[in-house]
Amino acid sequence: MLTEADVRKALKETIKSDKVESWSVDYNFRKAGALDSLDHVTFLLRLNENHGMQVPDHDVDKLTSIQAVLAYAAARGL
Amino acid sequence: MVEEVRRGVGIVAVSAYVPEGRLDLLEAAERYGTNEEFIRSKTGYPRVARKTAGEETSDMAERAVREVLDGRPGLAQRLGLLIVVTQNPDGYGLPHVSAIVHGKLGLPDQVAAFDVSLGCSGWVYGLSVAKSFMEANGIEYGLLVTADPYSKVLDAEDRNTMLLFGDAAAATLLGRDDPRWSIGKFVFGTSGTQWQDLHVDEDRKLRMNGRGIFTFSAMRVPECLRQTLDANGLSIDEVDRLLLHQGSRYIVETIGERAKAPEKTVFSKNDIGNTVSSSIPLLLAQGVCDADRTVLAAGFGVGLSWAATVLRTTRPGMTGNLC
Repeated sequence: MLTEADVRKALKETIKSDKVESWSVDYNFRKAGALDSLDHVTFLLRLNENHGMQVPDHDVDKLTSIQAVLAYAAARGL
Repeated sequence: MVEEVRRGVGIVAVSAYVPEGRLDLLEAAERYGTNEEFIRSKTGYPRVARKTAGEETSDMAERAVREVLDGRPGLAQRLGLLIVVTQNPDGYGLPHVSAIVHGKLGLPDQVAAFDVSLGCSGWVYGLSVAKSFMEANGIEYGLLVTADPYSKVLDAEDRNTMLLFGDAAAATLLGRDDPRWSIGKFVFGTSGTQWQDLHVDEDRKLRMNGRGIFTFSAMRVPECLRQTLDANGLSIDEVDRLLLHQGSRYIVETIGERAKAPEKTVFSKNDIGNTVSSSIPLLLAQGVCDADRTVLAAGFGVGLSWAATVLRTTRPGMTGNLC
């Protein structure tokens, strides 16, 4: 099961910063500019490689907070 | 004759032609909904080269070839092969660009001239095609030219592509007489189900799925590099330089990290841009590898396709020049 810690770890590895720990679960990291478009793609790639979470292109824009990622994964049994 | 044929074909010299025109992407950043920080740290190209409207693909190829032949009197008469790698040919694509270049340069009749239709993997594929063709047919010298001016098909409103691509051409002189670089074994691949991730549409405009290209590059290319090292009996520790297609700074650095060789990975901080199949020979022409002995080179892109090989020299020194 994908956990909040897993998502935070993937985010930290992507932006190479511990500031992820201070983000609330509903913090929109795309809207806030904490992840740009390429960071976002890299983050989703890490979730795919490490947790088998495949995201089709039309769902990418939905996954902009830790909460949204966890809900998306849970709905797919991950 | 048998001994002559057995001597392997390698890279003698590389030259490149870069048009003088530039598009300043820092000035255009706001228009494309981005900023200087993103351009410098992610795409890596503050400016990109642009050919003039009247400049044809064959003109760019001709200039690159003239540069590599300059100072080599009589060599043109010993050529047996001219390959042009392009997917943006002159006019309507018939005849092949290599025939036009052959005519413009006044090359001798014995030269076999044909085009290869590939994008960013084209220089590495072209090396294998040229080497095999020359060795099979006992050809002394050959030219591998890359000239793929994407400005012909860019959509000025599309930030995905406008922030990346620049125009340039390169000419790689191949020969069996004391080449600067020997060419090792190759690894190739194609993922044809992903062709739509980078294609020209019905309006003759380039369309790129940036996410698809990035994911493909980050996953496929490191694997291809490992396979190429294995094929050549090398470890990454024995490689001096990773010479990757310069898709963008972020892609190059990502692949370098995933290949566990970030310090050996070159990103050319230039004001030319992603020049498709010319990006790797451009690095050689710029002298990036002049101090190296073993180089792992990989191209990847349109198709989607990929190719890699190893270049080795016992005589580090100047390989090429830029005009």
